Amino acid sequence: MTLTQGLPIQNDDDAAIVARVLAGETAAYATLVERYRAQFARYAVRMLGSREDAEEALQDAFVRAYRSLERCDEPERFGPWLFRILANRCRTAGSRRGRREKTFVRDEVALLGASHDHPAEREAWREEIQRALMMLDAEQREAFLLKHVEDLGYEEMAEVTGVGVSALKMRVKRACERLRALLQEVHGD
Amino acid sequence: MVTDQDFDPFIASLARELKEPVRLDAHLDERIMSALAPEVIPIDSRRPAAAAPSSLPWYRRTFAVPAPLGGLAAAAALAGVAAIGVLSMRHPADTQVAIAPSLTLRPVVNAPVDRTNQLQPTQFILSDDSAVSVALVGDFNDWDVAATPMVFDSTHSAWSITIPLVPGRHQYQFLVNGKLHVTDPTAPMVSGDFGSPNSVVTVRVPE
Repeated sequence: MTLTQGLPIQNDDDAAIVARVLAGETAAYATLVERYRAQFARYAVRMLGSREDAEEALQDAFVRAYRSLERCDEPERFGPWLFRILANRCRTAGSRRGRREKTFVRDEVALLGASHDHPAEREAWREEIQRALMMLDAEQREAFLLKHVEDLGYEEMAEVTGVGVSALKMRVKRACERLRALLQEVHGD
Repeated sequence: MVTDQDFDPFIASLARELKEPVRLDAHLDERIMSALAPEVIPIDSRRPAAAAPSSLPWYRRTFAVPAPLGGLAAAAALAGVAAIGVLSMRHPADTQVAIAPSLTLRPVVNAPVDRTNQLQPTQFILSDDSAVSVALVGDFNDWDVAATPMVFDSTHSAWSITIPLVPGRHQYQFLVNGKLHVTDPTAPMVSGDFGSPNSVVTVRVPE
């Protein structure tokens, strides 16, 4: 099973960098951080609904990956391997927060995805989407993001989450239904 | 029946918005890289005053737990002496590092006075300059964040706790500042229930 759709595909350059890091050139790891930071941060922010939490999870994932680099059996696929670590960290972070942060923090996330030149309406709409996203169960939110935002196939999602394909399909379906119900009034459809 | 082929314009429009890039702390990369290469504190600088001269490095020596360790002393009294192994590291004080790169901790099994007692005093030590509170959580206390607060030892500039554990493998983490779960980079790790790694200490029955 390989991760080939939304996640970074095999990258031989990654393998070379991993080899350098394992040889003691810690600074070379910065290249991997720069390469994967943006895409993976997007997932973490959408999943956790907070830039601070997302950065914490992202940093945690990068550091854990670094410390476990010797266990990366396919260094040419460092990206998918790192993403699995990040997904786990986001899951753990979400479970730790439990329900104490069910209330969406408007100011923080509302501005995360919006460029300065976006119309106010679009910012408001994106805010509503994120707010609805955070009202989903974590499992549904994870499945939705992996499927529709990260563009993973179900087999890939199963690899990342350890959950069966059928269950993932059901989670995505329910997430879509829930998002539609939550956002219909706002969107006006 | 759920199919993978259905295209929903509404969901697609949501996904488009969610795919927009997010803004990050401009210093995130630096924070990550700082976390990879913590400053190493010379071990001699943490030599406890109570340690007697010896040809062995202090962190290898068997010695009575110093008084400032407070609760530790009481726990150590069960054993009389404690063999403590510590690898001490830290990161710069101004580094805003989420996971405690500086931590270094090595759980150590102390020799019991009463060998018929299966519980083994086991010490955990954490060095983290950013910590204002640290608790030990693990399967031995049902991951209760309030059950096992650690005590700051100013002599060693480290957080410490000694607890009795039954022989066997125990999973644990540190809870720093009430919210940050961190593992021990020097200890073996296993995947926890939520997919994240936990540190593992193996407590053995002394011979």
